[in-house]
Amino acid sequence: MAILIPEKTRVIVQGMWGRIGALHAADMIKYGTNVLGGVTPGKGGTTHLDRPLFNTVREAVDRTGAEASLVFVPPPFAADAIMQAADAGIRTAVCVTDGIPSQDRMRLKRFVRRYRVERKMRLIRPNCAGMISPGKGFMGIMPPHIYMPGRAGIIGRSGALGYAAASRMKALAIGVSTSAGIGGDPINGSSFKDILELYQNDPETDAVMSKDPAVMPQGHQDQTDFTGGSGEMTRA
Amino acid sequence: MDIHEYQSKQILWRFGVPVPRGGPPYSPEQAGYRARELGNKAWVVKSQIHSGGRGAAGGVKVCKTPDKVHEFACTLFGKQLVTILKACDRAYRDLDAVRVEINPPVIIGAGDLIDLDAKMSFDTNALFRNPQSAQLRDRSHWDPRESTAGDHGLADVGLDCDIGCIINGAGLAMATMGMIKLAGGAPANFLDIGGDASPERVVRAIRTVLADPKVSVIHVNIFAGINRCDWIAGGVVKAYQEVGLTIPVMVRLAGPNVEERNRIIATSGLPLITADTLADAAAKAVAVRPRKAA
Repeated sequence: MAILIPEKTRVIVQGMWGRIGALHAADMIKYGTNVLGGVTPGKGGTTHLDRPLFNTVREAVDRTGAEASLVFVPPPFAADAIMQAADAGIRTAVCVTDGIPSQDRMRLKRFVRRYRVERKMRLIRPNCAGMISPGKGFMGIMPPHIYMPGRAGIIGRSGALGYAAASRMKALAIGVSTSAGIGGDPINGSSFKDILELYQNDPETDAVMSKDPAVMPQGHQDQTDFTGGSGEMTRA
Repeated sequence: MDIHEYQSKQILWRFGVPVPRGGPPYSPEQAGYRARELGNKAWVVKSQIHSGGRGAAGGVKVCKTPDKVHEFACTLFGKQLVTILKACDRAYRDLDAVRVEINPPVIIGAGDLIDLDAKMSFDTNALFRNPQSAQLRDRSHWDPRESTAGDHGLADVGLDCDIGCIINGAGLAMATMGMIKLAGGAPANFLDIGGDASPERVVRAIRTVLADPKVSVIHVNIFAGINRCDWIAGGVVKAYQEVGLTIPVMVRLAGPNVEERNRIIATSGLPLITADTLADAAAKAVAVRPRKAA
């Protein structure tokens, strides 16, 4: 199994009724991601992309057994939407939204932290491209065809740089087990260290490609981050 | 994360840095007692707060007797400085600030504290719920080019050299600028076109970059996720027609609809330079620069 989004992960999309949400949800479904429904307040009871829509995350979780949520909610409401997911028992949330106010992000981080470990939600942070386990499914806005299934993990802050890495790796016949973006925001949900630990424990990942433009000139500093456990790299 | 002075001193002492003897008292009585315990003829009483300008604010004092230590500690505990800091904290939260700075606060007359200087910055992402802060913006103090780009929903940072960059995402932009430097060139700017780049947006980006007279070549590098290659290619072609581009344009596009991009560029009949990799793109952009007059 891959990390974060193993086969058949039950996924819902918050904001699926919106233009961008629907566009990417359709791509995810086409790729084989197990998308079971969407959440858009006021649209409960209707269907979109042949999937049921719900008014609240709680309702969606009760009815579909969703474990993961992809959040396309606009910045003013995004933090609320993610807190709702944490409260409803979602295990992994991916938020693509850019431009969430700093204080909302701080409040959100504190909110998610207060749950006990066994029901704490993992948040893949605002302003990221999402994550993909090639051949299994993806949650995010990446073009899935540039990732070849394989045994190398990818982690980084930048979406476009991640695509560039994946397509170079594909050109070199290096396949990817999972690629996860942690987003470029200063207050992020999961750190390099959090995600590297998951890769470390994943029997299907042999190596990890870690990239951060801020440390590129120094070469392989990602290694120190992995073994030294310093956690965060400096933000550019 | 900031820590207090006494904590810093304790840590550095453990590593062998010589520091004066002392420690934190938690009441004025304890301060006087600690002074006696430490001995000596003079003691420095310092308020432990996370802020600069402590001395100017009356938070530091040299005392010659343990009684004076006690007396000064009485004035520090629960005093004006704390009130001011609390007020600043409230302003910071209520107004979605990212900085509230008072430097220096000074003591006037009978010992009252007053703030002499002030600096505040606000979270741009939160201006939607702080219209009163948004109105305070003085546009005449902005870099005109960054301001124009902002009007068009683009993020542009001006640099000094001649290769105009239009890129999606800060990460790819930094990598691209690194490659340009490696290839022997230097960027004129850093324009992040963002996601959802329609042809019109590409035209506006090109106009923005062209407004800088130093630009001698345009380097477009888009790895599309949300963006579509055919849109970007269409935008470049459109810009050629509308703006009357005369300088070379290097276009490197990857992602969805890349075949359509190739078709648009091939059939446009325009002298666009294309590349597949970052390194190739940077080398070509640097190579086509017109030689500067010496």
